[in-house]
Amino acid sequence: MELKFINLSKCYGKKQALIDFSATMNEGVYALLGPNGAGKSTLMNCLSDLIEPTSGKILFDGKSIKAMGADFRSIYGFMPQSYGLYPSFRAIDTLRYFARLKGIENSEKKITQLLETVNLTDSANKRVKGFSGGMKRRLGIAIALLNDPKVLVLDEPTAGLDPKERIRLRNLISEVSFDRVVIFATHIVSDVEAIAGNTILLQNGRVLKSTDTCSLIESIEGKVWEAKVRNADEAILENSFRISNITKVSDGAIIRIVSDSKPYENAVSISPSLEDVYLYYFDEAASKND
Amino acid sequence: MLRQELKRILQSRVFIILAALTAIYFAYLTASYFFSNKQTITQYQKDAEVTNAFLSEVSDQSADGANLYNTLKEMYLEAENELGRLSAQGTGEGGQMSDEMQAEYDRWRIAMHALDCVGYQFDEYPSFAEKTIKKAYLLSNDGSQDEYTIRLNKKAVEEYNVARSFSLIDTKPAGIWHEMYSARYRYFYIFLVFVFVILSADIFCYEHTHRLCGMVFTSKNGRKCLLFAKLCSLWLIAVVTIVVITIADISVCLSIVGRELIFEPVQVLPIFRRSTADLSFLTLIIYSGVIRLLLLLLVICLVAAISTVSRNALVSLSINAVLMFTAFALYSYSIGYEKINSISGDIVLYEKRFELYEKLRGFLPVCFVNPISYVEKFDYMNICGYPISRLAVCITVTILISAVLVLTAFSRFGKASKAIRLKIKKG
Repeated sequence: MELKFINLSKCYGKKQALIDFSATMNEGVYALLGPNGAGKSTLMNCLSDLIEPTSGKILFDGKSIKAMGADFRSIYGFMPQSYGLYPSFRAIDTLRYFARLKGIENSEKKITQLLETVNLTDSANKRVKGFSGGMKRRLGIAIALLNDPKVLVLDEPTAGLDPKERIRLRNLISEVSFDRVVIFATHIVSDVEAIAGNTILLQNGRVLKSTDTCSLIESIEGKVWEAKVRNADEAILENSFRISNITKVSDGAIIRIVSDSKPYENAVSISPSLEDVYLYYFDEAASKND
Repeated sequence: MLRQELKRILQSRVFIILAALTAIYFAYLTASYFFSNKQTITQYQKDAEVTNAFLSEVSDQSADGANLYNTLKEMYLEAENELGRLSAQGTGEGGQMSDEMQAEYDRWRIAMHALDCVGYQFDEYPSFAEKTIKKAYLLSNDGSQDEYTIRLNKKAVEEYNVARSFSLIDTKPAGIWHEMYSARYRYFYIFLVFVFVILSADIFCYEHTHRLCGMVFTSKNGRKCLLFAKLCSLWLIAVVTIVVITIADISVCLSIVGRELIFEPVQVLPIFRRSTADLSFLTLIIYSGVIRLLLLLLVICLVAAISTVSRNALVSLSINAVLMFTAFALYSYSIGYEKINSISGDIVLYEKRFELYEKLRGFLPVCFVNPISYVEKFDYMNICGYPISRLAVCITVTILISAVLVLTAFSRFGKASKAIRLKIKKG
């Protein structure tokens, strides 16, 4: 299974939302990481055929998804960043409705199984209008999974959820990621670190980096420092370096710094995290843009 | 899919509110008409008989329309004065009108009714400071010029060669029945058109309004199949609405005019006397239902096309409402009158906008709100030398427009558009 993006670009008037995006994806979880306006949603909407790319194409197993049309949609599952549901429907009705939309015959068994997977069995007969944000997200995942998609796309699946719900949803994505291409967009770095095998960093419509998540973290090995500083030096360091964390202590502060060179006399090199990667690349890109 | 979509629509708040409003309006119309006609039908018949007799007598004596009108006016004023005089003297024994007073009252009422029925059209006549007599028709004795109205003075009679005898518009009980259709229900159907505009705009734009595009339009059947289900659901709702209204209508008519009249040919009514349609009153009701159903189906197709292009319920609603208002305003304008002359500041002459009206009825489907107009007389159009029924032309136009609109909707529904792009861009 291969999903290939070839020089995909999208312009809105003069603004370029996506510039020459190229990538090849196989089975596994791919995270699209980037700040707001990076082009994540544009990419996903192009893949969903909700917007026309200005140029470039998307191929699934060598065939254009545009030409595949309904055939591609039958193996495609999408959960947008923000979406509504039919408020008067019960959860089970919603799944039945989408099962019909997805052309699934004899869907009852699948629906029961999915309700169990997303932990909504007890709420199956409750109306959607009474659902919490987390429940709606889980129902959204169930809808996306109804047709057992080969390509599953989730736009900000954990946004607005409490930590417990987020962990539950993350685990769910991990569970269902076997044997399919899962693409999810987020700016919550810890989610990417937990489940994504591959990460694509996007900034202003361009790919900054595209590699497996471990390599990405390794790529800034030796560039993350920790130092205990005096109160007087704290402000100076904040103005001069990318600070990923500050912990106040009685006689100063412990500061985590992302820097190519040693930033402070007693600074020691420590293991980087994906948050440091985010800060390293996006702060750098921002400063270049400035 | 159709069942699921129908279920969703029937559960939606917009549908429930609109259905309730329609049901209340229809129940009110039906009940008020049923009871008001039950109460007045005998009086109406009595008035019709005496007025007919009077008119027949007075029209023989009248040299022209002006004289007839003046005779009626004099009689009315005279009776009114006499009534005033008698009233000042007291009503008679036990609060009852004396015989003399009753006779004057009858004369006054007949004169007033005759004036109404002869139906001269005035914006206002000086002698009737508080009265405006409107909606007038003058039927000439050859029965072919009822589209032309008042020419009240000698000059007008000479100039336009208007016939000199007059008859009532219609004062038979069946006339009331006809009026129920042509007058009251016409407004109900205009109301119904707007109900369907609102409902359809909400349904066709639902996915966009409720941020469901991403999930629905990425489903295998989320485009053509869903649009088909939406269209079929709305058409089904339209069919059920028309069937319910038609059944209620037949029931009311049966209770008012009785079982015998409903199977009579429509030609027994003066207004249908030149009709070539082979219709009884029952089949006329059914025919009217079918034609109005066609109008509703067209409205649904129109809203579908505009909604799928605009992708915004409010925009679609506004565009459709403007289109409908324009069409109905044009129709309403065409059935009105144009002032053609004013004589001595006393009498105003009008002529119906006949040519515009006839053209519109061939090509403007909103004219289907009054389907009776297509069968009340020999109504053919000359198309390339062939006489083609105006009804057939308008039905063909309606079907063609509907087909184009449906194709437009199918080609645009769920496809990427500027509206989506802008929305995403803002997001």
